[in-house]
Amino acid sequence: MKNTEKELQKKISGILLQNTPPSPDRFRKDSFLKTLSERACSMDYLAKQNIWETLFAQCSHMSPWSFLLMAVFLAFLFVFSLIHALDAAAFCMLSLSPILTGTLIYELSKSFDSKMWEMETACRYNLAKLFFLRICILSGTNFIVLAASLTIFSITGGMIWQFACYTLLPYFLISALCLWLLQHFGNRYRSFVLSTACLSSIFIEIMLLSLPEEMFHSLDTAALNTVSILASMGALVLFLLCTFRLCTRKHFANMVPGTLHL
Amino acid sequence: MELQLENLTKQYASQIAVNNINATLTCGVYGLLGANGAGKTTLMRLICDIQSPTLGTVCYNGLNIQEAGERYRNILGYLPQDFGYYPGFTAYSFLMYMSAIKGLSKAFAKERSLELLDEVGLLQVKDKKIKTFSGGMKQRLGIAQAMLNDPKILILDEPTAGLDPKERVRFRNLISTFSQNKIVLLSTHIVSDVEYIAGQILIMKKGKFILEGKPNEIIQKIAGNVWECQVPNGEVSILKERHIISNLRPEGNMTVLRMIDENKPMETAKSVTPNLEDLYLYYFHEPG
Repeated sequence: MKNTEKELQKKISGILLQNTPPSPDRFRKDSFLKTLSERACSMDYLAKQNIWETLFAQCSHMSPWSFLLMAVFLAFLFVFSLIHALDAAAFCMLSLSPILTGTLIYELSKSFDSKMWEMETACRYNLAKLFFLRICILSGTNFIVLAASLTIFSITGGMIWQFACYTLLPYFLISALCLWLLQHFGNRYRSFVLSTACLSSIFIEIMLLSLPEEMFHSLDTAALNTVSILASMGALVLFLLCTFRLCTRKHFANMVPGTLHL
Repeated sequence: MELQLENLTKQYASQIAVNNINATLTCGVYGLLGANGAGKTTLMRLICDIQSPTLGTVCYNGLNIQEAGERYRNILGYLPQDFGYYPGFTAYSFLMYMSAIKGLSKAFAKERSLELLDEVGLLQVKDKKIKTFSGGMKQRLGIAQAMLNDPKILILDEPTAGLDPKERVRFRNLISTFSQNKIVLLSTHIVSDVEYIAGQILIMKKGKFILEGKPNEIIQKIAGNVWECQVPNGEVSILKERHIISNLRPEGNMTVLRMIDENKPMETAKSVTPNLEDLYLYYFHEPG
């Protein structure tokens, strides 16, 4: 048995010696080595995902309570408009900006609060990218809520300038302020950021409500619409600027003294 | 494959956490030892690009990791010391979330998550909330998330904290099988953990590597400085004040002491073979 195996091995060796392997095609070899070195250099081992796939993946991991809260809010507003409870509808519109800002800040700051930020920063979609994705998702949802609220509010008899002045303006202003605070203080002032969001929104709205009525009477509706929309647009630019700065920040560890470890 | 640390420095106000470190890490398991405040966590964060260095660079195969960005993070696995999770997550949903932000496809993530849950012994409890887990179970889940993307560079900050002896053995075996053709850097206070699995030991003090090498090589640095002797129980407290005692074992009226001293502490003392724990105590012993 062993002799047969040895003979077979000898035969194979003889055949292999007689037949030298062909040298690889030069073009194919170069192309293969080029692709291999390109992939190695770029360290591009994972499949590319488009923005929609990434957004959808992130959306499924967001707290359902944020969306539920907005749905409940819209349901209340719809009911109030149906029964012509104008005061209640107006109160709903006033409470909209703290709700929207609160949900946005909660979703953004939960990484620090749950001590997930370090792991998230070390992943492919790092913390800054996650902030961007969460802002995209929540801003999209907020846009739908705002558009629906404006429609219902208009049907109920509300003015566009009232919506811009008492809802849009405080929402953009407070969100911008909170994003700025989050960018600068992060985890250490998380409760401070949320408290600031609530208090400043209430403060801004009280300020707007306490403006003398003569000021509004002296302007016609068209002028009021223009002024309030322009002010809201200005606040929107501020919000976008703060979003850009938060989402382009590379490192968040240096600004989190509360979690400093040597 | 190599990770180069060049003049790596991190300063917080007046305090230098990492002080001009130069090292090249190639494939293998590295054990990072050091007392609290030695700069281990900061060094690991710098290697993971979680913090920016005050000076110096970290390069992977010659490419600065800050410039590589996403491409570097694709091949990185990290378990932080402060490991957290979102409330409401189960073990499986946590791994699926981490897979999503690591950019893994859903089908691959499902398969890999179940495989890793099985490897760390959490498959039976995969649908239970993490908040109901013990410290050791959470730690095992943390190790699993770091391995999701089959990283080329695995950084584990205190991975054995909270693990019982059986879990630690399981962890050692897991790292040993995983570390083929990879760079694994793990920090721990438990010297025996790195003694068995680390091919290289890095001892860090005040932001610098004060000693580096293979375990058996660096242990030789204190050869002839470790002694064992038997003393009456009454003398133990006096000797404890004068010498570094790495172990004491009562035997009736007598106590067997393992001491670290450059000179023979007493006539009856016998020189014994040092171990990594003795070496650690030799460098990090604080009087009192």
